[in-house]
Amino acid sequence: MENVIQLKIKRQDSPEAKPYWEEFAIPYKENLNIISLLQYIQQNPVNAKGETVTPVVYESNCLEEVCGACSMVINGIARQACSALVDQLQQPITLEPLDKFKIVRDLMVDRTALFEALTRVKAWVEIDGTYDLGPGPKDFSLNQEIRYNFSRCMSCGCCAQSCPNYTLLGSFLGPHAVGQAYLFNLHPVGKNLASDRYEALMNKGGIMECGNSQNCVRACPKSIPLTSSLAELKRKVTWHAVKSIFVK
Amino acid sequence: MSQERNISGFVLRKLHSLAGIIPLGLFLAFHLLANGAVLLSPLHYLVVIQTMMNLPGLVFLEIFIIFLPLLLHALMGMYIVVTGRNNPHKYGYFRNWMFFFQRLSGVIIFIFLIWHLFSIKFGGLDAPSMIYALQGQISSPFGMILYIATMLSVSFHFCNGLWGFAINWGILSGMRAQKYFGYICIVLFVILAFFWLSVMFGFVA
Ligand code: SF4
Ligand code: SF4
Ligand code: FES
Repeated sequence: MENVIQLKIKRQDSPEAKPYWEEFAIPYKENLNIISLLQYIQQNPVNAKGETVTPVVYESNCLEEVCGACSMVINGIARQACSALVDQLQQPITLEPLDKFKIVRDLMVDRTALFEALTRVKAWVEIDGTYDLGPGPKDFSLNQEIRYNFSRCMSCGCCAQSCPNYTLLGSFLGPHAVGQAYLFNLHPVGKNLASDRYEALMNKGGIMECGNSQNCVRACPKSIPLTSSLAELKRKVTWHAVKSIFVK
Repeated sequence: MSQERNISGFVLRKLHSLAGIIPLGLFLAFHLLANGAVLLSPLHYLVVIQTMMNLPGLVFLEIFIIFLPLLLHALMGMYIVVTGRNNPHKYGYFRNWMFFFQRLSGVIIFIFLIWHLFSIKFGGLDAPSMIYALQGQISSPFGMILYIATMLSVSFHFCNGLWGFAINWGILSGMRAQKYFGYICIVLFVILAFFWLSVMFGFVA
């Protein structure tokens, strides 16, 4: 193995600044991941030319691919830095921020749009009330299994990054929000809001913005069957639209 | 966080998907069959074209079954092309390439149609001079390339569009179903492309 790891990072000093590439050479060790490289740069902020630079800004939290905070574009593909192992990556390794979101600084982006999309589709179970509602209804295990798949979404944004129809300026909710609408419509209590969710998916930026490229399902680190939920909801939303002509 | 209700985008995209199959897909099949008469003999072709030109209510049919849906499909399609951000060079999956080719073929057909409509359809030609005009266009090197590209594009755009339609209208939702229907669409593409190209070369033969 080489004794240095070559790293190229697309940096940006502020949201408005121009991006630029900076190279780093990091001493090789076995079993490193991308976060360990970024931690190394934090401690030794020296680029490949030997100049001292500001440390590269990035986000991370769980370090075990469950929070989604460290999502970035690694060698062209959006994924989590904490589970991207250096030994499995081709060098020079390139790191870029997710460019479907507003860039805050370097590899750190503002993923608020993902959470706003979740509020638009009411991705929650509504249990607020003025009195104790008691235990919820029982659910069948078959349904639970389907829901479990979708419940693993960590709002990381990899699906949105890979989606040709998800853009910074566009209004598309994103594949994850469709998956979550599907999840909560399957929930025995969550489904009370089903028609609100159909409305959101019919509204501007809704489900028909999807053009079936099916990148999302391949990009999702949690292998969530997003394309099935997209197609199922395309049908349900169509029925909802037809029905609303007659009953509203 | 309640949004103002605005479902125009939703309705337009649904209609865009539908219009591609009904009526445009049906028209395409009809157009292929009618032009296919040239494979029998130029005379057959003349008879078919002549009959069609004398069809009662032709203008009405053309406006409502062809032009308006075509206009909707083409304009909405161009809007989809310019607002998307294609990335098959990064995410080189089969379906993403198909997604890209759907847009590319749409643009090729769009360019072709402008030429085709103004030179043939609105060219003020009678049936016999139509054959000559088509022959002239197809046998020029530029025309030949554009025609071949369009015959392939049209076949592809329809077949892949059929696949998309089946998903957009929620007919196919399972991954396995989508995969196998994809195979069927490939076979359909090969058949359609073969026929369109034969008809096209039928004009110059
Ligand atoms: S299938 Fe739809 S939502 Fe998923 S990446 Fe493609 S266009 Fe985006
Ligand atoms: S659906 Fe998958 S890729 Fe998309 S945000 Fe959730 S976990 Fe990430
Ligand atoms: S730090 Fe949580 S997913 Fe990487």
